[in-house]
Formats: sequence, C-alpha cells, structure tokens
Amino acid sequence: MIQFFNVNLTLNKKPILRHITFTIGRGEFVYLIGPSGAGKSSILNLINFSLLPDSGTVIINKDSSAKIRFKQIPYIRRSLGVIFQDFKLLSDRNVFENVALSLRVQKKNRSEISKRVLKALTDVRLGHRRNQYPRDLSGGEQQRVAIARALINEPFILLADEPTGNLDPASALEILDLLEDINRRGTAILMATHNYSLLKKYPHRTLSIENGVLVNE
Amino acid sequence: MSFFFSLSESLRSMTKARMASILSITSISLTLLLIGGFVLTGLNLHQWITVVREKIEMEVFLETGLDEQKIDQVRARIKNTKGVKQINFISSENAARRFENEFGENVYEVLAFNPFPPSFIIMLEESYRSPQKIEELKKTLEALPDIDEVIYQKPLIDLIDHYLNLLYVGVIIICMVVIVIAIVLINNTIRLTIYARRDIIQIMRLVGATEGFIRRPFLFEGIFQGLIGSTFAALFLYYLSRIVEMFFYPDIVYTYHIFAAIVIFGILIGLISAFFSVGKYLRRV
Repeated sequence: MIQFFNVNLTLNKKPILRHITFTIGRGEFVYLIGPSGAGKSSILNLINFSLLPDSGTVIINKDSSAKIRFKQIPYIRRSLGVIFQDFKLLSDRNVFENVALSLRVQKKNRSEISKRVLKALTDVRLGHRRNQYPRDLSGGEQQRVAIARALINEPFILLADEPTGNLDPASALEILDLLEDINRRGTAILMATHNYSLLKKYPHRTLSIENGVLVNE
Repeated sequence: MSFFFSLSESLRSMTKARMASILSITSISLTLLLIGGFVLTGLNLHQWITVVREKIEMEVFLETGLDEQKIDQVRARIKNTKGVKQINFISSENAARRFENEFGENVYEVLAFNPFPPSFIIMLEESYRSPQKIEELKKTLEALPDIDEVIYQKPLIDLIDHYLNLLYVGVIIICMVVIVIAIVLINNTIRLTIYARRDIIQIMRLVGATEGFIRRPFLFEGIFQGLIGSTFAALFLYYLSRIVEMFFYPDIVYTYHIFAAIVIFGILIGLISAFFSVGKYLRRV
C-alpha cells in the first residue's frame, strides 16, 4: 500500500532524502522518528504527493510517483488523512465547518455532510462543541478536530506530522490513545515524532531517519 | 452546490480581509480612473481636431475672362473630382465685396478695376483632410483646364497634422504605460489578499480539493473587486463628464461605450490577476 523504492529527494540543491526504501502495510501503525530536519516531514510530503522524488519511486496503493498525472493528485489525497503539529484549522470557521471542508471540496450534498461530520466529531468526542471556534478549544481539542477532518473520508492511512508537538503531556497521551483507537479500527498510521517517550506507551514498528538516511527499522 | 460554496467563500474572504479588499478595489478604481480619464481626454481632443479639420477649405482660382458656360464646365469637372465634398462659387464681384468686408477698402476706388478672378471654395471629404491628400488634390485640380491657381492653408494643415500625430502617439503611450502600471498594481494588491488566505489554499489542497475548486472563490473575488472598483471609476468619470458638460464645455464627447469598457476591463483585470496569483500559490504548496 505505501512503498518507497530507493527514493532520493533534493530541495534547493540540498539533498534531503537518500536511498529511502520501506513498505507500510494495510492497518499498520508505524513511527517515523528522527531529529528535527532529518527528513521526516519530507517523507510525509512525498506520500501525499506534495513533493515528488528526484529518483526512485513512491507507490500509494496502485499510484506510482513515476506515472502520476497532476490531475490525479487531489483524488489520491482524499484517500489519505493528514494532521500536523499546528493543527491547520481555519480560525474563521467553527468546528463543524472545519471538518466539513473535506467533504465540501468533494461537492457532497448538505445532508450527507451533516451526517458524516457529526459522526466524525462524535468519534473524537467533540460532537457537543461543533459550533465553537478553534480559539475556544484547548490544543488537544483542536488536534482532535484536525483528526476528525482527516478521518472523515475514511482514509486507509493517517499521516501524523508531530501531532503532539504543541501539546502538554496529558493532551499528548490523549491524542496517542485516540490514534491507537483509530488504528485498532483498521486505519494505518504513520506518525512522525521526535518525542521518544511517547513510543514506550504503545510500542510499534519504528522507522528511524537521520540526515535523510533511514538508519534502522 | 459548488458554485454557491465558491460564491460564499469569496464573500467571506472579502469581508474577512476587509482592508486588503478595500485596498484592492481602491487601486483598481484609481488606475481605471486614470486610464478612463486619458481615453476621454484623447477622444475630446480628437473630436476638437476633427471639427477644426472640417473647416479646411481650398480655393480654386479660374482664368480671367471665362464665360458662364465655361465656368459651369469647370464647376462640373471640380465636382466630379475625388475628394471634393462641396463647392461654392465666388464671382469676381463677390470676391471684391468680401475684400471690402474684410479690409474696409473698395477695390474699385483703389485700383479702378477688379483684380479678383472668379473662384470656387472647396470643402474636402474627410479622407482628403491630410496634408498628403490635400497636396494630391491640389495637383489634380491644377491640371484641369481653365484653372489658374489652387491655394490652401498649408502651414495650418501641417501644424494640425503634426500635433494630431503627437496627440495620438502620446495618448497611446500614456495609456499603455498606465495600463502596465495598473496591471502590476492591481495584480500585487490582489496577490496580497490571496497571500492572506494561503492557509485555506494549503488546507484545501491537503483535503483533496482540485485546482479548479480552490481557484474558483478567488476568481469570484477578483471579479467582484474588479466590478466594484471599475464601477466606481466609471460612475466618477460619468458624473465628472456631466459636470464639465453642464458648466464648462457643452460639446464634451463621452459615450456609454467608454464606461462599459472601463467596467469590462476592470472585471477582466481582476479575474486575470486572481487566476495567476492563485496559480502561484497552488504550485508552491
């Protein structure tokens, strides 16, 4: 489902990733660890085709970076969920509208949007806060809204880029519990982090990257 | 659904980034005001010069001693010459009278005879009011029988032509420069409003929005800003023209086409600027 074959990436003439090869299977939970600037976010960006490799191949299900057409990319992204350290919520819309955006871009009708958004918010235990704005929520709650938005399309994988980086330890654990729960329901998770202490609570397969090179599995 | 979503997104954006929108609309208004002002000025100068040119006339002096039959033949030949719009006959007596009216002297008292030959005053067709064409017509007329001399106000016509060319070139250059400045200025201000919303572009891309879907609200926004800005400019110029017409210069020329063109240009410039500015962020994210 996600396969990297000898992937190399250069940005602004600087090598970012070198000879990266790995596979993530359906329903797996994988940590991607390494210091800041090691290349973790670049791997996530390659998976959602925000970046394309200079050489080597990235394969997402049946779509290969070598053959991808630009117009296909939005449709591939709908099968991926992404969350970030800074949540990336829109401050001028309420929780419901933030989550609904994923469906609005697919031109879904109003009743379907209502039904699915409420379900997604209930899944992250935020159904009662649907009319509030991001500024009224704690960091942990904002990340749960972002998770609801990422999951609303029932993606096969959730890409989490330092999802606990802006959170206090209690909220971080809460988010990790939620991700664990999501994974148990069948969604694969690839979580980039440099918070190694979190890994001990739920040990999973770990990809370790340093200076753009995968050092161990 | 998607149309209304795009529409509401664009209105939301314009109200959210109110200052940037006002800046954008103001810059569209001011630049179109400038362009429209130049076009109206150029149009009125052109109209004024056309009126002056209409008054250009040529005088064809006949040989002395021609009888009426001969004069009629010359009249027919001149009338049939290409470039002649209208002719008026001035007999020797009429010429003497005109002299007396202009200079206050009776030519018979001064010279004891009438030295003025009969002549035809020729009004020219519009296409024959340039220096080259007038000269061409002069030679044609001089080649006709029974014609002694053809004269016209060559220095005045050359002067008008010279200034007319300068005017055309000047207005075109100024308009081109202003249009380029307008495009750059409007493009930059619209880009600013889009820069302020790069977060939503990024999020929409991440959740799988197509390029067209992301672009549409910004295009609506560009159209709205262009429409509002250019309408202000067109209304201002229209009422300014009305005031000039009522109080200063009743012959001012202004057509509704100019105001419509300003509005269309404003909409187009808003649309095109938005299209390219969003494109830049779509490629970048």
